[in-house]
Parts: sequence; C-alpha cells; structure tokens
Amino acid sequence: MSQWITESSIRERLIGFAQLLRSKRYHCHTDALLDMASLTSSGAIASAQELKQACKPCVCQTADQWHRFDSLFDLYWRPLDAHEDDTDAAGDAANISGQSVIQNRLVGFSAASSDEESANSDTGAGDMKTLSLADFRFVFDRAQMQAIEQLVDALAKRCRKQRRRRSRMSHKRGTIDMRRSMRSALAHEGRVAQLTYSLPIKRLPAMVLLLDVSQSMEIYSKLFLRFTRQLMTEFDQAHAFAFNTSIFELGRGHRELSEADFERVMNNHGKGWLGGTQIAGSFEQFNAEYLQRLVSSHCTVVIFSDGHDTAKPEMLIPQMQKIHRRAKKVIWVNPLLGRRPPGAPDPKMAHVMPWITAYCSGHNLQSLKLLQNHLLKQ
Amino acid sequence: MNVEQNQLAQAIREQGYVADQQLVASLQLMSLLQKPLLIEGEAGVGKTEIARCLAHCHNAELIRLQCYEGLDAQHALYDWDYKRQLLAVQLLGQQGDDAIKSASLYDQSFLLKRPLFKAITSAKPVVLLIDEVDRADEEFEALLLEVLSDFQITVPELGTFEAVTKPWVILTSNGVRELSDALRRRCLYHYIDYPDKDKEMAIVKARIPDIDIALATQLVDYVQNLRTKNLRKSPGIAETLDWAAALLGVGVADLQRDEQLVSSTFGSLIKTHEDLKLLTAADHDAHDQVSGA
Repeated sequence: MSQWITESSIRERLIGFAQLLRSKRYHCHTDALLDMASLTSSGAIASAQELKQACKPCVCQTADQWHRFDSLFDLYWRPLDAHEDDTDAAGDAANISGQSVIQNRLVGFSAASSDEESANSDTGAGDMKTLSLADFRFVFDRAQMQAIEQLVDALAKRCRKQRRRRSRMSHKRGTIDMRRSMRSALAHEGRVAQLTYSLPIKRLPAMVLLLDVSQSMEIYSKLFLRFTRQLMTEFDQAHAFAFNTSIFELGRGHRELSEADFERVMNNHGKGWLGGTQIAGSFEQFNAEYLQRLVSSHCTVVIFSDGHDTAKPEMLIPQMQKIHRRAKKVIWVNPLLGRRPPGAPDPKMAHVMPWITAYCSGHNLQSLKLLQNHLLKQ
Repeated sequence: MNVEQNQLAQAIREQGYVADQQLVASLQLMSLLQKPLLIEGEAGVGKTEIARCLAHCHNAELIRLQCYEGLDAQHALYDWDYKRQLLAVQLLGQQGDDAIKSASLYDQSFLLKRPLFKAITSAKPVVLLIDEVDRADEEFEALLLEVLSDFQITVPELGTFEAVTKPWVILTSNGVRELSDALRRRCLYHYIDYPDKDKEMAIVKARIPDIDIALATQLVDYVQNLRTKNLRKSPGIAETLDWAAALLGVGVADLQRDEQLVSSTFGSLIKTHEDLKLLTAADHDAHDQVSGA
C-alpha cells in the first residue's frame, strides 16, 4: 500500500469515518466497511482522491447521500491528507494527532448538530403544547356523521373492485391458468384431470394519512379526524399520524377506534389541538421512522394540511421528494384551497407542487367526495 | 488513477462513452469486489448505455432484463417447458409404466432459461443489465437478492446453480419508486447526474463527430439553459443527441438564424405538450424583447 497513510491506522480511521457517516444518516453497514478495508489493504488505493472514489460507491445508497458524500469525506480526511508527503516518523505523529482530530471532529459534529437543532428550535414554531380537551363529538350532527361513513363505505367498496396485475390460484373459478393446469396434468400422465384457475387479487389499497392538527387547522382537523377514523376502520392497511410540532401515530387500520380513543391518543402526546406547525420537521421525523416500513409503491399518502409552516418553505422539499419517490400517489388536501379563487397560486405550496400527485380541497363533504375520486384513480 | 483504471477509461472512451473518473472507479470496483452496481439518475443520462459499453470493453455478452410491474420468476429466472413435458409423458405412457417411473420430467432439457438464469449459468463472461428495476414489484426485488449476493439460483427440483463465471451486474433505476434497503445493501451505488457544459460538449462531439463546433456549442448552451427551467421532463443526454441528429438532418447551421427549422425539431428534445407550450411561449417572449430593443 502507498505511504500516504499507514496501513495500521487506516482501519481505525475508516471506522471513525463510518461512525461519522452513520451520524449523518448513511447506512454504512459492516459489509461496506469491510469492502473499504479490503480495498485499502489490497494496494489499489494510492491517494486520498482514490480512496474517495472507492468509498463513495460502497457507502452511498441514495442520490442525496451521493451528493453530500464529497464534502463529508473532505471534511474528515483533509487534515490527514495534508501529511501525505511527510516522512514516516512525521507521518506517525500526524496520524496520532490526526486521530485526536478525528475524535474532536466527531464530537464537533455532534455538537454542531445539537447547535443546529437548538437554532432550529429557536427559530421554529412556538411549541405551544396547550392541552385542549375540547369535545368534538358534537361538532357535526348525526346526519353529517352518517354521510361521512357512507362516503368511506362507498370508497372501500369501489376500491375492492379494483384489480391488480398479480393474481392468485383458485380451484373453483376465474380464468383458466394454462401453465398451472398443464403442470398439474403431469401427475396424471398428461391428462388434464383438473383445471386450475387464476383469480385477480383484490386487496384494499394501503394508505398513510398525515393529519395536521395545529392551530391553523383547528376548524377542519376535527372533520378530517372523523374521516380518518372511518378510513382506518374500513381499510386494513391504513396508518394514521397526527402532527403539529412533531409527529405521532394515531393507530393502524381495521380497528374500531372510537373518538374517545383519538382524544386519548392526542392528549397522551400532550399536543392537544393547539400549537405551531413544523411540517418539514414532522415529515423528516416520519421519513426517518416510518417511511421505509409503511410506504411502498402500492401505498397512497394523503396529507391533510393547509401548508402553513413556521420553517422556510424550501425545507419541505427534500421530505416531499422522499415521500413522492416511495409512494404510489401523494394527495395533499388543503381546506384553505376552497377559499381561493380557482387557479390562484399559493406561494406556500408552490415549491412542493411537483411532488404532489393531486392537490385538492377538503373543506366540506362535497369536496371530500372529490377526494374520493383521487383516491380511486389508478 | 491506477493502470487498470486507465485501461478501462481508455476502453470506455473508444466506445464513444464519455465517463468521468468516479464512474470509471465505480466500474472498476465492480470487478474488484465482484458486486453489482446500482446506477440511478434521471431518464436519458446514459445508464443503460454504460452496460452496453462495459460489455464491449470486456468482450462479453450483454444479457438484458427489462423490468416491469408484474415481472415474476417465470419471466426472469426460469420456467418449465410444460408442453414438452406433456408430450414426453404421453410418449412414455405408450411405452409402459416402467418407462414413466424411471423417467424424470424435471431435468435441464425441460428447463426454459430466462435472462437471470442464462447469466448465472453462462460459461462465457457476461454483463447482466437489470434495467429499470424500480418498475418491478417489491416481490421481485426479494427474488433478486439471492442472485445478487451469492450469484446463485436455486431450482427446487434440480438444486442450486452457482455462477460459472461471475457476471458483471448493472442495475438501473430512474427513481420511480424507492428500492429496498436489502437490495441497495448488496450493490455498489453510482448516481449519474445531468452533465455539465464541458462534458456534454465532449459527448456530442464523441457521438456526432460531423457536427459543427459552433452549432454544437449553441445546442449545448440551449439544452443546459433548458434544464434550469421548471420543465416536467428535462432533456437528458439522449434527447440532446437526438436533437443534434435532427438538426443535422434538416440542415440547420445556426440555431438563431434558422428558427423555423429549429422549432420543427423540438419533438426530439421536448417530450410533453406542457413543456412544448412553455418553451414556445418563452421563445416568443425572447423574440419580442429582441425586436422591441
């Protein structure tokens, strides 16, 4: 191996680098670390530049990580690389000091991140964790509640009729599956004793519902909560979350959730109904904790929010990109849309529009019916 | 850049593909670590082309698996030739019970090899291109894991087939949907971005040597500018090359002088009606400003 860095110290440095990457949300797993170590010990790496080019494909897994990698690498390795031309002894000394630099740097990173967090929290939403035990059972009369239930029932029925490209085997009905029928005929010397059929899979679509329960949404969030609760009861693969300054799970689908349950969940999280909104921060938390597990290419993400965020609008872009890339559809329901003249631009939403499949209003029952069409569209 | 990288870079250049150092390094790592390479990037930036190029460089056969929704093991790995099996069993039936008992209907002569199986069992070096893997279902991704990590395929009736010569595997993704961590973990990763001006000029010159330098400069400037606009589908390198070929085809020598002819070739550059309308409106505005001044 080249003398730009000693072999004995490179493993420790790589481990330190891996720790740094993990702290920056890179999935730097053991295999990648072993790959990097094997490359450095094979003699294929002769300079920091080559190490960078070798490490990058090993540890990056997404475009975002790819674009951030160079600056992280330079930040970590540059002081050590500066000793490239030193003699062995000086190189060793540099390695020792380099080690402490790395450790300090790692500490520095964590300090920086906590500083950033505190800075964010300073400028972020006023975290008014006001507890409100407002009873929303009487916001709508019985007839309106029944209308919402009927709407969701109809939606579920129509969704069940939608077919998927995958099919399942059946011995009784469906279209004849020649491949399986012929295969089963082999057991009877080639005589087709029993036909096998294939039936289309009918599965209700998966849904993730993200519900803004901040102060600005106070009037509508109760309506949406009822709608959400009904969706979760009908759809077995529905997950609901509420957010204002942070995000928390309301529950899974196919559960008979009473409104009291919802009230209890909200109050347990100490968020109540009032408070500022940190949409970008909440979505970042959702993406980190739930996106991979819950959102797939068959999943529709429905966001009920007016888009009023205390953070800069641009901060929402990377989070929306992540959701958009993973989900089948992203539907944003903005109740304030109904108040705007048709076609009028909304500056708060303009920057995230490219990552929204459908943007609609949901301020009344009529507009919720229109939302049904978006949910049904393939 | 070491000797092997230099040789690989040279071979790639000879194929007319303009690759940066990082891409060459990623391709070399594939060989060193014997791992698949996942290439992501916008449509038309040259992801698929790199597989073709690599196959030429290594003098290997290119086996391509185009992914789509609903792609399953029968189309990607292997299937049994049931028609031949039925014929065989009926022939054996005529020969008597003993013949049926001793015969096997599940041997390799009844096996239909699909692209992944072909790549694994090929005795010659092979470049396997799994194109647009993000279009396939998540179930198919799970199917790929065994192939990509161990370079082997298990057929329950016959056993496990290990790769005779490990293929170079390239997976491409346009980012239509997020791929699973399990798949990403098994691959090296490379992201191909839209090229900068110099690189795009080099690509145009390499692919269309007949083009006039002045026209190529105008064309690249135009496309680079177009990518800064909020288009629904930004033009990739493939579109740039198509447009250059179209311009040469209709005899355009100067983009500003032959506006009428240029606008007739926009179809090779712009792929949606909205973008075309946006572009036409912007061109009219620019023209009005020039004539007003």
